[in-house]
Amino acid sequence: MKAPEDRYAKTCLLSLLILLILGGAASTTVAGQGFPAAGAVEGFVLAKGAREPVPFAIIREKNLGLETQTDELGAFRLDNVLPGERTIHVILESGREYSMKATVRENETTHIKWYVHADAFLTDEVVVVGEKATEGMSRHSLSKEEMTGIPGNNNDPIRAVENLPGVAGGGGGFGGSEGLIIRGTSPEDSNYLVNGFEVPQLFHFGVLVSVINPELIETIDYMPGSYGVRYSDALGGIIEVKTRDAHRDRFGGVVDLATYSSFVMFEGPFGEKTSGAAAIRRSFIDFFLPYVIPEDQAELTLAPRFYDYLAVFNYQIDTKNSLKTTFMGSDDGMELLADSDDNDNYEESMTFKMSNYFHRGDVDWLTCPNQRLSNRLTFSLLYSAQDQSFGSMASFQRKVLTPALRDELSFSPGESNELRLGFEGRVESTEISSKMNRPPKEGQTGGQDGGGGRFELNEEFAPVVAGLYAEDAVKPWPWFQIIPGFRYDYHSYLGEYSIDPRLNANFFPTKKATIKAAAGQYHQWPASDEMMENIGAKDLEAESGILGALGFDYRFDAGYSAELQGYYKSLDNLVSPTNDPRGEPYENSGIGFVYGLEILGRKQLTDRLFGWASYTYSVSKRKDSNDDDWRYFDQDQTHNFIILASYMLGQNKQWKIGAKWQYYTGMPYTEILGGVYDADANRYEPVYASEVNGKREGDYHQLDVRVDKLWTFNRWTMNTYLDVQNVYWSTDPAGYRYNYDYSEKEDVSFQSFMPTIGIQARF
Amino acid sequence: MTDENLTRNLLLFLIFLAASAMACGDGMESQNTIESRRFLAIVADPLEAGYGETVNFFALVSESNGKIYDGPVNWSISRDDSPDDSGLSLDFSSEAGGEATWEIPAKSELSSLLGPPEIKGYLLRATMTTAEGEHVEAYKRFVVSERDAADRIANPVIENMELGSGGEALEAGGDGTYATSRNEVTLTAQTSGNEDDLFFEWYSTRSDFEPDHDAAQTFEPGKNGTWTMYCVIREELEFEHDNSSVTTLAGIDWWRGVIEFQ
Repeated sequence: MKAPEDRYAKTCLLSLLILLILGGAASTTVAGQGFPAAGAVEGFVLAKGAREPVPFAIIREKNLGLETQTDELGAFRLDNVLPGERTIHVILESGREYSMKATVRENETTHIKWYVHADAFLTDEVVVVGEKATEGMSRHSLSKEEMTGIPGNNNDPIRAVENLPGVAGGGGGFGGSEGLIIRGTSPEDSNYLVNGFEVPQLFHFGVLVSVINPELIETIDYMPGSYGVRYSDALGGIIEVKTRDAHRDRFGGVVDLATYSSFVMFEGPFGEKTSGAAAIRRSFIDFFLPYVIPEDQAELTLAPRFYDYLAVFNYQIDTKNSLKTTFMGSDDGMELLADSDDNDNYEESMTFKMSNYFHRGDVDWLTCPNQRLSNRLTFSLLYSAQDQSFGSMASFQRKVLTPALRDELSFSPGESNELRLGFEGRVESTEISSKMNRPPKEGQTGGQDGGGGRFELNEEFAPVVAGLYAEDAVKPWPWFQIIPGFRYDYHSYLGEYSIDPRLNANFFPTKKATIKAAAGQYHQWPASDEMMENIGAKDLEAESGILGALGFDYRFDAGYSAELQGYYKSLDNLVSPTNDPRGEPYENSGIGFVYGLEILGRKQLTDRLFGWASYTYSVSKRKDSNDDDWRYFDQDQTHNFIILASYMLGQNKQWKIGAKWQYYTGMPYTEILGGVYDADANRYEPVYASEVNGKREGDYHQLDVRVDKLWTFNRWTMNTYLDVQNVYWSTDPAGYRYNYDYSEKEDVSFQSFMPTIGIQARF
Repeated sequence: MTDENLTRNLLLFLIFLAASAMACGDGMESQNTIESRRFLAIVADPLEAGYGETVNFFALVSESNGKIYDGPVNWSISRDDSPDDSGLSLDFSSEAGGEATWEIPAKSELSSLLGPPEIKGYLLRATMTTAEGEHVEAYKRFVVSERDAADRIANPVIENMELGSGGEALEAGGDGTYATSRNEVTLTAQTSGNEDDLFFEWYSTRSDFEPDHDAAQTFEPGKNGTWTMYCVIREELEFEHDNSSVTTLAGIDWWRGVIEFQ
């Protein structure tokens, strides 16, 4: 008898043999009879309409238990997919899930391109508004969707800055001042930069939409104060727009049709290393304004119209070097002819003409030898021209050619230390031909005459303005950052220099809270007409200001945040009219101060809702000389409150509704007591009260609403919007209208009800 | 900045026009209708005079009924750029009719009285009292020059005023009044010099009068009555100083007539 163990062993061996045979036969059968081999599915997941990659989405075949994830380019690949019609699922980060049928064949790769509704209604760029993080104080980051979708802004992201703390209400709208009134200073006291260099104007006609096409904006830095040493020649704020690079991964464009202006933009790659984008815009105001201005009062020979263009070309030299060339320009024109009834001489005297244009080209070379070192060298050439006449009373022609150079070296010796060294210089080669009165200055009550009668000028001058700066952002501890900076500037025409030390410090008591402090000195060169020969004064110096600020930020959950900031700014050496007919017309005799409080409560766009409430309290006063009394600054605005919100509706957030309400205090003015007859000009000159800016215009409030509807197709989107400014026809007090001799007056107010309809196709 | 101020002015002008269109109650007194005692012109004759010469000043002031004001006018002369409280002024008055004569002193004497004359010329101020007792002021610039008489600037002249109605010329009656049975009169000013260099201002005691600013003015009052018409012509003349500044002077002449629509 054999032992049972032997039988068991034989049985096992036999079973194993059978299994091996069967297994071999089975294998042979699969191969030999065409049992389907696995295929693969690969492709891209793209956002519908925008065609942007959707990264980190899960790709899943549930029946086979296969799963992968899209990469940063939205690409994925699923291997070992059995042939047949498979259902592939894509699951976005938000949890939203889509499915698609894909036919898989053996040993083949099936390619699919999948367009899905992205998680947000957002376009790609993020616009940063606020003071730079590396330079201390506050930083506001707004998505481009937030910036362009604000009710009342006509899709202009730069106009969104007007809704942030520190900017006076009514300062940027039709009827207000040119530029922005930032922290109690004139628009001329702020700098408006594009890619690091000044532009002659930031807004068309000084107050309308910006001259930079919104589609090619990368960032907008809004710095109401406490800015670093990179910036100079301003006692107010800084607004710097940076243009973005053209897309290198696809062709695309935007066609925008709106009530008052329209533009087109195209972009795309031109080879592996080169890409380009170009945009051009034209206004439609000239089609509408003749209906607003009555025919019997004036004839618009050339109604206000504007053009602008912007073109960007990028060339990636290698992984460490890139070149960017930018061309931009703007052209504003207007001619207004008063009713003349055939009298050519009268017609000539009442004709108002204006032509402002500029063209600029920049070449920017960025080199980054390693992660700690980078250098940006930019050369810019600007040509600007103004040709303006105000009837027969005044004319002004100016041509300026400005070559400028800026170099900035950034070096990080350690994780918590970034050193920045910079140089900037420009030559303002200027030709002026004018016949005009001396322009009235801030605080001066003289109508169009700043004193001294009319001058005829034919001047040429070419001042060199140069500056050097250095700053170091040091973070010795996780809870503390300090940024000392130093700047030196020189003005060849004045033969003057200025030195600005500045310091910012940030404390981080918790991860969500920041306490900020800043102090620094700022200088601003006199305006060209103030130092020009014949009409200006000799021996002027730079105006100066010392600013101290303290702020607190706190970030709550769910995208809510609050910011509080207080500041005091002391102004000295301000250029003021002397009112001395025998001496110099101006001297650095003015002083002033501005203090204020700014509060911002905000809900960032995280899902469907975004908005903020902004409050600005400000007091700004000036004293023109020791003999004068303190007075309010011309554009002093005590209170400015804005609340705005937008909410997205629909499964794919295809609807958006928004509203903005604003309230602000009226600005001061000097009362007119009567008139004196000028027999030469046959008109009355107003007689002003002795107290300058002793009265204040009435307060104002306004509601703007906006509705957007977005249609999303696979390869393009179409957005339409209706934007209505001042829906309840609020009247804005704008002073008084006087009779010919100032003996009678009546209120003047505006009802700036302005609906705008727009349609925008993006592909 | 200079250009920014001009841009602002242009925009403000547009806004003003828009505001004018929207303004409620456009019932304020027009500059071309005479409804109260007011200045219409100041004439210096000659317009440019030399040291030691005589210059006549005349303030054309209309009463609310169109008659020429014959009350007192106070005059003062100072440098254009002198502050009001400088004390450097020559004061005199005309008791009736707004006429005054000034003997320009020698250069050295005038300089001692008013200061050195190198900048903007002189400012002539005229002050009178309205019917309501308010003081109203007007001014005019003039220069005292050392140029030859042939090179000097001069006032334009209204050489003749033609009035026509329905194609027929109107003649003034014994009291100087033009009478017409039609409801339309065309006045045509014939002037010395080039008409294109002149500004024409027409004034009327009719409250809804709207001028054409032209050498010819049609007056249609719409009802019967008697109204006074004034025509003031101005020519802007520039006197260039050595320091490249310019004083703009107005050469002025005027005409007055009474029209009766029967």
